[in-house]
Amino acid sequence: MGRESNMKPDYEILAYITMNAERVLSGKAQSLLAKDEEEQKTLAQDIAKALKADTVKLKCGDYMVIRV
Amino acid sequence: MIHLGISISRIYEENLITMERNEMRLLKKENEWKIAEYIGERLSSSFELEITDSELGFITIHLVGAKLQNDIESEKISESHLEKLNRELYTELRRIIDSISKITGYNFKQDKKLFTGLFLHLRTAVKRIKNDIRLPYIDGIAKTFESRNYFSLLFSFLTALTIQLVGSSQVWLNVFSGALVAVVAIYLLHRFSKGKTIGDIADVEIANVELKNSELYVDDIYVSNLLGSENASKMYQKEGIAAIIYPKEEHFRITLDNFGQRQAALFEATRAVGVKRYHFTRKDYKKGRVVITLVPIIQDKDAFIEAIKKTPLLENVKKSHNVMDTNLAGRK
Repeated sequence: MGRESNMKPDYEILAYITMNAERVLSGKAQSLLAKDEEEQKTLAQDIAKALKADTVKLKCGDYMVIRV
Repeated sequence: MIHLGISISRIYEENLITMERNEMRLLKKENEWKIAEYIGERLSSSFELEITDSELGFITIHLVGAKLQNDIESEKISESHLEKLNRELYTELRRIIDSISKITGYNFKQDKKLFTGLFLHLRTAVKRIKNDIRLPYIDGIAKTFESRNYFSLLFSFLTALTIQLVGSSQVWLNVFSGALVAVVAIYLLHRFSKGKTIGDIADVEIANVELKNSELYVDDIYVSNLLGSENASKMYQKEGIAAIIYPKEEHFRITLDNFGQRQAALFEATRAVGVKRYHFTRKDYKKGRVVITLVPIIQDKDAFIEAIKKTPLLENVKKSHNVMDTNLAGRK
């Protein structure tokens, strides 16, 4: 949904799924390291389904589960 | 209901209120605060709004007022309770009612309902003014109610005038001609007084939904990248519909780009065809186009376009003479 610049954003990053161990960082969002692309995809989808959230595929290949 | 409706529209238009901390502290102690919280939660999930504490406070004020009025009318508590709430307002209002009774000769002093209603409305109004809460729709409400009086006045005048002018000895002919003129007047005034809609200031057309690497584009306008999973992309590719709103004139962009106005268009569209999953609006800064896209329950593109076209222009947004200019046919 579009949002004006003066509006408080209410999105939340719930999980970050990557295959690069260097990008597994601590923080509020759950960071997960996947074995391969298939596992990465499944993890993202399952988490999104369970938390009723949306998945974003980043250009670097990582997945982010966010709730807007 | 009216106050909640106004609050929803106000939040959509980012016209948020802020209340004094002390006032909020007192309101949170009221039993009605919990009810307001429940109402807030429901509104928040149904209308996708962020209801702030101040908004909850505003709902609480109205709930407390309504309960008081009900309790006094059903004589659960006495009218003197109002005096404890605000002595100054109570005394002043009593004095006003006394002088009106003297001037008009009607005894308003005994009308408990009138006094309580006036007291509670004024009390809320004082709180609203103290907290600088302004009703953005006040002009619209006033205009609508006032115009009703003028319309009825005009219709009766035209009907009576026609009957007098015809002046036939046949009564039915007088009545028929009067009614005929009234119907024509109603038709003309209905069109003349009709509120403006998006269709009046913009063209709305169906657009192509396209997915490029899980990014959603509508006729080459980037909309969202929230469709990262295969399921989502497939569903959107297969079932998603989109419309683009093209402003007829450059200055109509001011109206259409307003976030509240776009939300209203999306709301009307979702009400017409339903939402299975996902709904987005996006504005294109370069050409001023506005995208409305969603995955509908009912695949009816015509109804989708029609709903967007018929979305009313919000009162606050349309305060531009370019939009408000009208003619007898009701369209520019």
